[in-house]
Amino acid sequence: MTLVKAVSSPNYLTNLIIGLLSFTALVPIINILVDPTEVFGTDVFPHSFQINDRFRKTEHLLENRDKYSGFLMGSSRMGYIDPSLFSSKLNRGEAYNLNLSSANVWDYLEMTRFLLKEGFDIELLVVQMDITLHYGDRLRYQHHPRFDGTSRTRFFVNNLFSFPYKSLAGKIWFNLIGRDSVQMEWTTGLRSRPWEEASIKRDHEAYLKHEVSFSRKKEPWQRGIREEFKSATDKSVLAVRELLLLGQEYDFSIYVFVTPHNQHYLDDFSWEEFQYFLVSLSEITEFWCFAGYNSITTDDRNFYESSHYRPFVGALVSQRLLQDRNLRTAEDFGVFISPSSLREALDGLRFGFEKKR
Amino acid sequence: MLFNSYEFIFAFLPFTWLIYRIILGARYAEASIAWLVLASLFFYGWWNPAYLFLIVASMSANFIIGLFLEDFSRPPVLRKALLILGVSLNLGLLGYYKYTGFILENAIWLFHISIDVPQIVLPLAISFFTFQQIAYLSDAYRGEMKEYNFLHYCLFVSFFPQLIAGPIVHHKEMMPQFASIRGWSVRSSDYAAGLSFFIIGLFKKVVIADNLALFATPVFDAADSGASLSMFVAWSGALAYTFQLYFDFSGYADMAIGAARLFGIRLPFNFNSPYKAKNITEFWRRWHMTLSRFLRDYLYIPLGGNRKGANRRYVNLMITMLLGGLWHGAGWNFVIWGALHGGYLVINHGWHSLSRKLTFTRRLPLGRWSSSLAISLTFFAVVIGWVFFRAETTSGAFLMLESMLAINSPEEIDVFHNLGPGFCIKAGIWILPAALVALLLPNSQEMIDSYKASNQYSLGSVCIPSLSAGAWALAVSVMYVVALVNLGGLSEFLYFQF
Repeated sequence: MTLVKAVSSPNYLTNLIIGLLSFTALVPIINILVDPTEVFGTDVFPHSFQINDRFRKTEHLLENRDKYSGFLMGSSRMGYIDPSLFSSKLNRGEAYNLNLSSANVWDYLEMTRFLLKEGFDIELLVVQMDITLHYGDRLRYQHHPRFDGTSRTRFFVNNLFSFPYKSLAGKIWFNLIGRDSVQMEWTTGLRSRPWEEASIKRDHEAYLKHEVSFSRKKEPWQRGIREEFKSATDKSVLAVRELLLLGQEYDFSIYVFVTPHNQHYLDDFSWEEFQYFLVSLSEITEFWCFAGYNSITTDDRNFYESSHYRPFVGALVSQRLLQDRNLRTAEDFGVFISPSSLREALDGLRFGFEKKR
Repeated sequence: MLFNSYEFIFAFLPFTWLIYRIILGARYAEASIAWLVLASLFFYGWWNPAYLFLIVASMSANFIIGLFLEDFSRPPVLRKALLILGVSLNLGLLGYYKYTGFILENAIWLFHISIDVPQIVLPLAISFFTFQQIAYLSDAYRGEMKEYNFLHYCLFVSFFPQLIAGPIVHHKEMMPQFASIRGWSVRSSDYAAGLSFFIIGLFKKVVIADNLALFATPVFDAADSGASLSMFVAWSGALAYTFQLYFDFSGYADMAIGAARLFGIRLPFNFNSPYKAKNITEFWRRWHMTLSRFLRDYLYIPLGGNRKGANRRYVNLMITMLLGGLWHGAGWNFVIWGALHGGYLVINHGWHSLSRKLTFTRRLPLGRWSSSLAISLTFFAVVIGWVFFRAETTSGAFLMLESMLAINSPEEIDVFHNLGPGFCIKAGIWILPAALVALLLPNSQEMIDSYKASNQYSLGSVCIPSLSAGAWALAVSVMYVVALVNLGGLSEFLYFQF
């Protein structure tokens, strides 16, 4: 039967209405039950796969407006620094680790503006800078409706009727095998990787051997500065400048540091690019640089994979930032860069590059 | 409120329909029409309630002028003056909102004067309801109108399925339907057809057009920013837009037709597989058919049409298409697009005149291959036109054309990290199926409504399987759910700006 004939059959209309109503009910039921991005908080499937941390963290902060006055801003790499270590620098509240998946400095800037608009009394920002080729596509990420200035109802309706099949399948699979991609502690903002930590505890060498990012094939070394890199760096530095101006306007302190990138991550960039990044940033602020080939970043045991460092590296970073005198770590981990120390710092870092390559 | 929004699908449409059915079930036909007018005004005011005053004032003024015009006892001079006044008021309103900025910007450029260009917000659907009302006034003046009441007239102008982006309905095809609304006159086959049209339209818009946009937008953006592109990238963008526009606009028309059918109202079809056209004249009989009808009846024929010789006919065609281009938007690219299509039509009519005189052309084989060649040539001409239609800047359009024709030097080509060979392959994955559907399959009205087959080379009978009513219902339901889960990223219909 053709569709033309089917349309005039009474069965067609009945079946069509049943089909439409069933699908209209089925999609939200699946979304609520599985909760693929954890926006509904149903917990029927306890292990997480993809988490909309932008929504969940903003939601938590809005519910606890007076609790926090210090914020650690960064991408997921920032997620392994305990915010309580910065409490000594705060008078009016606690610190919160506001790391966001795949965030860039634009996110930190917009999030800071949002917090100020919402009346948060900011005392301190700790800003993590990543060396990256791309500035990122922020439109991919779904923010909290209040951040976007959109309706809360629309946000939930969008999530009810969307079908993120990869996230749905991933979450179901992770719950079948009983593991989390990452765990989030919403009251502190910290991330944790219990599955990886357990594997490391069992047999660290085997873990390192099986982690593909540590053994990927080396590309030829980059030379010169790629246009995309220059553009991404210029935009990042511009956003940091905006953050610094906000700091002056609203009277809060800002610590800036360059994340300790693993050696395999750093291998993708040329010395010229690395230098361009540091020089550009030094033109607007003093900062700590933990990137470069040093004894922490060249030891893969300090990382889960080539992108994320483990919590004790985060503790070392915060101790450096807080100038903890009890710090016992490799001397070459972390270089403070200011206009006066730039030349010397670059010489040291270049030596690391030359030695490695 | 967009048709492809949760508000419309889950709230506005079912609620409006339910109340309409209740009122109609109680046999209050006029009240049901009043309800549809109210609902339509609510639909219109959803964007910006301030616009409501404009449309209500416009409807009221046009209805009153129409009443005077249809009264043949009044002196002809007065009636003619009233017609001129009515048409001028409509065009003046459209001109003020749509063309003030364009005119002032060009005056500044031409005369080197300094004027502040006001930022005038274009009221929604003004281009559509202006045309409908001009047609109404013209027919009233010619005495081609029956006596209508104000409520019916308001529904004719504001009926929400056709209000925002057409089809541009004619009072002769709508008013008799309003007058004949009775009790439970809507049949179950109307609901079946209405839902099917709406869902197929929703799928075309949300799934096909919106995904094609992902490939058209970055290419045109790059060209508009001054980038010279490789031939493959430029063609990927141009073809993606060609099919995006068709599936977007025809999808919208399907949704409008479907939504109206749920209320027992039949809207005219607006598309009939335009890319299957064998010449440009046929293209305009298949593309935005209600606009073509309006331009023919109220512009081309009053200008003299083809009654005053070949040369005058060509002039009339050019004027009609130039104004048609300007109707689509206040910009030089639209003027160029209109001129291009005017030129195409002149060439097409000229060729027909010539071939009638040349005896050898009658002996040319007009088989499948020549038809395919004719379709390809027409399609190519249309794609070139869409480049001007889509590009934001004239320089961007010419850069696109240079790239498509590969007349830019290879050294000039800008290499974008996201517009490489991978981009063309991904674009092809969407463009190819879209092309097959648009060029080879029957269109939605042929599939649902026994509409006259648009092309003998349609593969409908080969590609569309014979299914039971239940299987068809399931297939349409699946299209619905696929569209539904893609609704989250709301986007504007392309034709809203016109």
